[in-house]
Amino acid sequence: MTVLAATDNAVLVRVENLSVTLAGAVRAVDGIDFQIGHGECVALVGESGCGKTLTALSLLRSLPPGVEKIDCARMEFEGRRIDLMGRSDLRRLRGGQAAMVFQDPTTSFNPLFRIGDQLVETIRAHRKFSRAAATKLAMRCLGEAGLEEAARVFGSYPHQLSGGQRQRAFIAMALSTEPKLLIADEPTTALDVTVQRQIVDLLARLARQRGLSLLLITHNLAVVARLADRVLMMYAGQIVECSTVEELFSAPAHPYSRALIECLPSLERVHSRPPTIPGNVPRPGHWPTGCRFIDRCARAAGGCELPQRLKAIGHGGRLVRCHLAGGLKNRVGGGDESGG
Amino acid sequence: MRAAAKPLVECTGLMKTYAAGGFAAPRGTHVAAVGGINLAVAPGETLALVGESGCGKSTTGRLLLGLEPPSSGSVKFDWADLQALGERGLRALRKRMQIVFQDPYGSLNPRFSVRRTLAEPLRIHLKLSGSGLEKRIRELLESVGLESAHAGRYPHEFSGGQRQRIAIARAISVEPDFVVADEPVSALDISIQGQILRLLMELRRRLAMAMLFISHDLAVVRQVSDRVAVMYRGRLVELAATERIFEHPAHPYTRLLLESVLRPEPWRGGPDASVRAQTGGHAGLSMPAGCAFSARCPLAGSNCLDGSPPLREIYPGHYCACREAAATTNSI
Repeated sequence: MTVLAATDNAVLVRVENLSVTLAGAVRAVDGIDFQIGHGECVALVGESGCGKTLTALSLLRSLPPGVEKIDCARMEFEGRRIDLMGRSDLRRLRGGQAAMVFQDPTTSFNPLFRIGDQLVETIRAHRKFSRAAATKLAMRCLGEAGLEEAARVFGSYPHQLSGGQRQRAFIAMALSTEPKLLIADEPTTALDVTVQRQIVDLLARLARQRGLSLLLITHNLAVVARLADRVLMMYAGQIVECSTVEELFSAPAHPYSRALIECLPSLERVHSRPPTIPGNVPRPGHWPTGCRFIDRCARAAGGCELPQRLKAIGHGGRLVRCHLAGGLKNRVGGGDESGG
Repeated sequence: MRAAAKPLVECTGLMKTYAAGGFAAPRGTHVAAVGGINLAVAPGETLALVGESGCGKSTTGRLLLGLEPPSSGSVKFDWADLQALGERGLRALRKRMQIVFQDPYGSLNPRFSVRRTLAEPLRIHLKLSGSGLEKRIRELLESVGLESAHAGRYPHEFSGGQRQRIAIARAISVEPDFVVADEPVSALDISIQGQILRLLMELRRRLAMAMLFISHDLAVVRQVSDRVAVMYRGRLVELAATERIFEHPAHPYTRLLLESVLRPEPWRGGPDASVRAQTGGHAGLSMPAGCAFSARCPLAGSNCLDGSPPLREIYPGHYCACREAAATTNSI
């Protein structure tokens, strides 16, 4: 099994050969390996149905209904086996050392309780704090999350805040337990552009200041470009490319990564025909047996009908699941060449 | 304001207020979702309406289609005043104006096959039946890139992109002159967005239909629109040709929007000071006395509190509702 190496830092999270099976024996995540270093931001990127959220939720073993089972060789958090953990250890991990931020800040809080009470409850569930001490910490976290009127936010109900303020308050709650890992699942998708940018910058600042590791799950490549150190590109349940963020955007190695980057609409360039990838993302259970991108790939050739392995390219631990990679013209651009 | 040619759709002083809902709002409070706008769409033109959530862009789209009555002001479609038409007259106009929604999961009836979804407008508006109806359904499916064999299937059997194609097929089935596309690609994967944009652009060319393209995604707007109207809290703050607005944005809000767009370029530096300075969204209902943007505006001065600034032409075809911007535009 290939192990995707974290850059330099000691490893915080190690996942080996993770698979997730949905009801009806349908594979949704198919043999994922990755590591996250201390203080590293790793982005799991892919389109809907590629398995990125299931992969992240597997880390906390909090999978949604409809999931039949998780298989893995091992899953570690700071050397402790998540896959073998009992209920009480898991509860300490979730929302404690590994906190999570969700897409929709309107539904992530309980609408019936004040923000402050929800923070205090979280803090006291994970740490031995008096109510007064927890309140003090909650206020500090709200301030750290960039909420200028921490006291007002503390006493507000979720509906009294704007979307951006709610997301900041939720990030404050996630931070209040001093996590080592923050899992952020599409943290900016539901927000307006002006607010999106603020939240991305907030996450970058917090990760830097606190030495926090970040697992960012998103389909938004612009957010990835701004936050991530390393990118795991997922397609149809597999990792198809593992690169540093600079490598990915300057010379994407997998044809899928490359096509996806070319698809991004630009503020500067106007296309007479917007670039696109033909066809549809294959659904779990309908994956081709060989390369899973084969039907949509402009470069499909002989050999693509065979299952593809992750192979190393270059010397920096870059991996790509394409037997043609390395021989590809490694430049973005070309504009309108993709048909469809 | 004025489109170059004779407008197809035109609204004047368009306003829509809603009673403030929820237990937190005092009784009798009203919120202006659309606070008095003038806008015209020329035949065959694509006008983009951009702004943040809650700025009133979707409401404007619905008002232009007569799906909701305005609180005041008027909408004219090909010179006919929608308010004056009444139900029957409006129904006759319906086949000339259509809408495509953001969410292709919610906008199709899950219990209708594709055939039934497409047949309904064709029966009602074009009085088609029998083999003529079947033929038209086949043509429609092919024109949006679906197979005619798919007519018997139900929405859940399709992917998001395919469902949006069905919604588009339904909208164009009656060959409308005007389509409101309300965030038509926002719910789709990036690799699929381009397909749907291509389809919309191609259909627009072929059918010569005008389009109001509502979106919060400026990069997408740049690709598809002829002109761009920027809304902030129910008002138009800037309107100009697409090229012009991206090259020479005049209103501080438009500039903030453009600066806020995250670029997929990891080598770009940290946040711009100007973006960082203007934090704060707008929770709550209170409107400032003057320019609605003044609370977040870096240019705000004392005369910004003196009533809502009107749209003024600062360059041929380029309108901006900012007293301070006119002074600074010349320097860009």
